[in-house]
Amino acid sequence: MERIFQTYALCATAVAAVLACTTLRLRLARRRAPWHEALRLRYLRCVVHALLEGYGLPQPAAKRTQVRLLLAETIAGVTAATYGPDTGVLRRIVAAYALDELLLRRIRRSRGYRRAYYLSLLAMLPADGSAARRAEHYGRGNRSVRFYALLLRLTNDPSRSIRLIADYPTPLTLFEIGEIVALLRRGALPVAYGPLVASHNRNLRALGLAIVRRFGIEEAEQALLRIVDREPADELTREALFTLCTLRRPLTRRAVTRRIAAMDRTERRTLLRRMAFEGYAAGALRRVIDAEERPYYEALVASYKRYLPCSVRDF
Amino acid sequence: MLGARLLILLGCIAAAAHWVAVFAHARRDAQRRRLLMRGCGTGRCGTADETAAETGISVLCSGCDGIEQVERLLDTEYARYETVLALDAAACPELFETLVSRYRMIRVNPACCGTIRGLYRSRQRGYRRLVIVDRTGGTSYDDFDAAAAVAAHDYLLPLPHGCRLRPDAAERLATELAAAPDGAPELIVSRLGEPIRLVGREVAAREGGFGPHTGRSVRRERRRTLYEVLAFRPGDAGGFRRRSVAACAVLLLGAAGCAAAGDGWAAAVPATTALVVWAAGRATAALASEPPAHPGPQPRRTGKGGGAG
Repeated sequence: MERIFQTYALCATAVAAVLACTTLRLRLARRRAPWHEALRLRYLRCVVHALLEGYGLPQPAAKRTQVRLLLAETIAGVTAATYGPDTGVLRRIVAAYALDELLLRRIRRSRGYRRAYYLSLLAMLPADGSAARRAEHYGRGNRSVRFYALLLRLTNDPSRSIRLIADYPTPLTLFEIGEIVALLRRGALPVAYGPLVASHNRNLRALGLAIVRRFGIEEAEQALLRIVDREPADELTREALFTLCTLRRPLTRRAVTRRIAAMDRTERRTLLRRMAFEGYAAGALRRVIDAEERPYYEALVASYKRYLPCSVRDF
Repeated sequence: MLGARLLILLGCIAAAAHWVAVFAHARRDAQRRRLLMRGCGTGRCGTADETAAETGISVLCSGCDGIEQVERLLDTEYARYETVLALDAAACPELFETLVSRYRMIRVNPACCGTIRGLYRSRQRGYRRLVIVDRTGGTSYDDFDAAAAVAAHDYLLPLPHGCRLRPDAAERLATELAAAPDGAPELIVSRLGEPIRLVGREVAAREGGFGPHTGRSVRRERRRTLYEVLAFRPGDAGGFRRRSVAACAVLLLGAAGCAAAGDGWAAAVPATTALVVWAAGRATAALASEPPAHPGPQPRRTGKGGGAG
């Protein structure tokens, strides 16, 4: 028993020492945060200046790993927040400081969410195709790593994007679809919504619906109605219905009313709240809402903020 | 004697394992947060912009400390978000008048009656995410129920009196909902800082309203626990810090007891466990107080608590 107690005490002391070191490291990182923040702003100004002028490298020169990582994060932020920046300038900066090599090394040495984070940064950098090829085998990692490896391949080879998404083995979450739509929004992924919505692949259709919703494509109404009318009741059919609602299209068509009638109470109330949010009038929806739920919807509409009188001055 | 020593050892192992597990969870969640929230504030947050169409969050407040609290609650960039403030206008007429005049609130028809005397919404577009429910006094759970009755979104976040939300808490919760692989969870619990619970509207309806154990009926696979600070009380170290200090005190008392009984190594076990608990507590607190990842340019604030209606 004495031996067990001794062993435990030694192990516990070692664990406490490791935890204390971690605390110290975190506190040191926190103390350096203002300096990093100032440097980040300086790099941001340099990168924007280089984009405007068409030449130049961020100064001071990034030599330390932490500083190079900071520069990579800054360029990723600029790429994410701008539409169609001059990738030639950014590529020169990435090559000058070997940022893609740094990220690949970090990806190799880390795992889990950290690896996924570095993959996401690499996907935002305008690096050459070799980085994507070297990161290809991470497509077999855990869920986050797998997704950001896919994102990296999408940014490096947009022409194969539909094939890559269709072959992706797991259903994409809303967040992951949002990440792909963000790529599309900054012009890095040229795909049309039509084939996506018409596709029977779950991921492609979900992406198509997200694009229609995000960009408010009213021309997709017929395709959405076809899904609501003919497809079996599943998550994507429900999403197509909600997309119609987001587009503020008429919901009194026979296919739509039939689908709404088949919904359970919880789903129907969720849809009613969405309809109130989008500004559907209670009177126009008599065919859709049955007598039991009409008071609920009317109360929702009556108390809703969209119906408040606003003068021009209030805007 | 042997039984007592074994019991001490097992208890200490359990305590050390618990606190190390809390640290491991906090570390994993900090990394996950850095990954999922890296674009927030730059106009490309996966959730806030692209998937927000799906997830709305209503923050329900019981009582109000003052204008500053309301300003903080409205200071979020997440689009599908609203704050429902349950107040007793008769109990605090001055504060109520201040709120009504400052935010240009007007009375509208309430969605339900009962204890609700009136429902107020702002005429100013910048403050349309604020709803005030004037209701007769009751417990904070009654306030939450009244606020939930007029809330517009599918997820409800009851915020106890005196609590403050972190500015990016709504984005973080919505990201977590959108990133769940097996459908959105019905309950998200935050363990660090001031514990808060984001519940699906249907959960609150199923359980007959809010109470001390809201979310008890939610199955394990439909709930998610976050080891992050999403809410806090000003000037308070938080329940997590208090618990770690209490655990250390109990272990040190145990060590002192063993030492008094003349059992040196048996005293060393709770003493070193107290050290582990203290170190894990400090490390978790350091992780939890880390500033959010800041990956790039921040857009200039346009003021007045955001816009989308």
